[in-house]
Amino acid sequence: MREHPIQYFYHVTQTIKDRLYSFIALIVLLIGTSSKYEHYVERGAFVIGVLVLVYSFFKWKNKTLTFDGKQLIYKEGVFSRKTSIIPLVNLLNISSEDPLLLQILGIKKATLHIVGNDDITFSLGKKNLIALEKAINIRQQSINKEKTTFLKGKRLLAAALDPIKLFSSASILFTLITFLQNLNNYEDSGVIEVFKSITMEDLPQIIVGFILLYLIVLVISYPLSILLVMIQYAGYQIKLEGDAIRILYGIMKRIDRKVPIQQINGILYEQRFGQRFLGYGQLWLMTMEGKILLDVSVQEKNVNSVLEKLLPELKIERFAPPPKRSLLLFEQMPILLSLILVFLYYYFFGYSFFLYFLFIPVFFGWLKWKHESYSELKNNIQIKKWRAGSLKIYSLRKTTIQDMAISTSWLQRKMGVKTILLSQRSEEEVDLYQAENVKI
Amino acid sequence: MCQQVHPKSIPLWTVETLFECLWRSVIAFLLYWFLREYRISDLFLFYLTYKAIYFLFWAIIGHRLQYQTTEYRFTASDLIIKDGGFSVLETTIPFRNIQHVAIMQTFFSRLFGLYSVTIHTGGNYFVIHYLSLEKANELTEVIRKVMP
Repeated sequence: MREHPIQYFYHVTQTIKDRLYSFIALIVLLIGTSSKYEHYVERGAFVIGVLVLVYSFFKWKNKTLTFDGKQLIYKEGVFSRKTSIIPLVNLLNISSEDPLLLQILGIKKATLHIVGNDDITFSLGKKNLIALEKAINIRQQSINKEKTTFLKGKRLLAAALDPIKLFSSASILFTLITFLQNLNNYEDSGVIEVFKSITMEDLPQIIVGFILLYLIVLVISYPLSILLVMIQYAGYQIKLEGDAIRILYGIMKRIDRKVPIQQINGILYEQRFGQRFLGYGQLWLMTMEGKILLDVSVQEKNVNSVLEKLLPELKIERFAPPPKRSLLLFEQMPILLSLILVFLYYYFFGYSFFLYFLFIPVFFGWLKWKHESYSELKNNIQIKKWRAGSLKIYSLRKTTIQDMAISTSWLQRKMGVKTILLSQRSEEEVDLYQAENVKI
Repeated sequence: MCQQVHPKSIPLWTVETLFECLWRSVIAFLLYWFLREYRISDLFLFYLTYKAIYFLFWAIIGHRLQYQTTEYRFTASDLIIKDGGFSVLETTIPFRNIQHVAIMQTFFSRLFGLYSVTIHTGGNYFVIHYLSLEKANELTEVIRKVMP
């Protein structure tokens, strides 16, 4: 079967976004609005436009998915064709993400998660999706009639305090402000002229000014972040369906994921900077596909009650005392060594600019960790990392740990401590710095 | 018993570091050349100095230390790989988690007639470099026997 024809337009926008966006942005920045190049730009845009339309058509036409009872055959590509034959046993699950436009058109964007392979994303009409799910025996209920509820209260405020959400909101505002400001007085200078006028001595002021400006925008962008979170996580539901956890949320993009419990390698509770002040954080499932959001905003004291219902074996029970904390700056040795070089450079060539960055190792060393602890239970390993920036608590199934590395530097050997790196099936390496007497 | 990598690994690592430093330096030099009228170009000059010192450090001391540290050994249930220079990284890979193993030759290692062995687990991969063909085959064979 092929994707729904409406996906052709998606391929057009995706081609522009992936392959041309940065190129076009660079050209616009370099030539500004100079009329000298208008002629070339018009012709070039026409040729590229036609090529994009033709390329996208073949991209849509060549993308097919066939199911022959035992295996899925997936074909894609325009210039280089790719055929993947996927035995059904390697198919982990199907999840669907429905952007608003596709919801209106009655199309579902299904993602097939496959062991040891890239995910396959395929947009299908509802009937085709149900047919595919039936064919491979995965039941997925319709979610359209479910009631939409919004996050509220402290949960909402904490979720919107996530720095990533704040920064994306700030970026939207920042772009909007810059656009409105330059709408009437965009000069024919191009960015290269501005770049040429910057001197080494100007850089610290520019950097400090930019950071201050961004901090102000961050504060202003908080209400926008709240709005975005309300839309993104509207109708949040977690259900236990047989041997799988089903997660549903979103208005503009409706997420419906079903994660078999046996595929969950561990959980991660993360309180990002800002969220820490309210005591809320995000709960993630660690699977072979990567991290999957289980709950967008949950209070630290409630984590275990959430897990009690869904994954009692991964409950966070107790933690051992923290490892040694006397090597605050040690992890920053590479930065320190670079700064020695910078200082020598300053000494011989006299650039005061570099001195501004001498605080980096101290700042990063302080941020790196404040408190870490480790605990081994019967079925799982728990690691708590509380740095100045954020709090992370891992609870990992022992059986999913693939390998372990112990890193020791010269100074660490003298101090009798080590860094432990645990790698597990979730492709996320969990590290524990300056650990003492840890036996895994 | 601990097995060390081939002694020719030292000059091979040096050539690899030289190549890596060279292509980065060429880019830095081009940027410096085009922007040499402006003071900001000194940033690229600083980068060139840094890369030269970095290369000299690894060529004279770093790779020798790396050779002394790099080794691998088998226990009853695990493969242990030790790697590093000033910092030492010792990785324990349980046999039951090894997914597959691959022998590889890069452009430069072909010039030296050496091979690297990559061991893939469910969450990661590890490279032992560089070994003679005989040793690489021997190591691969042992891993294949103990793999689940």
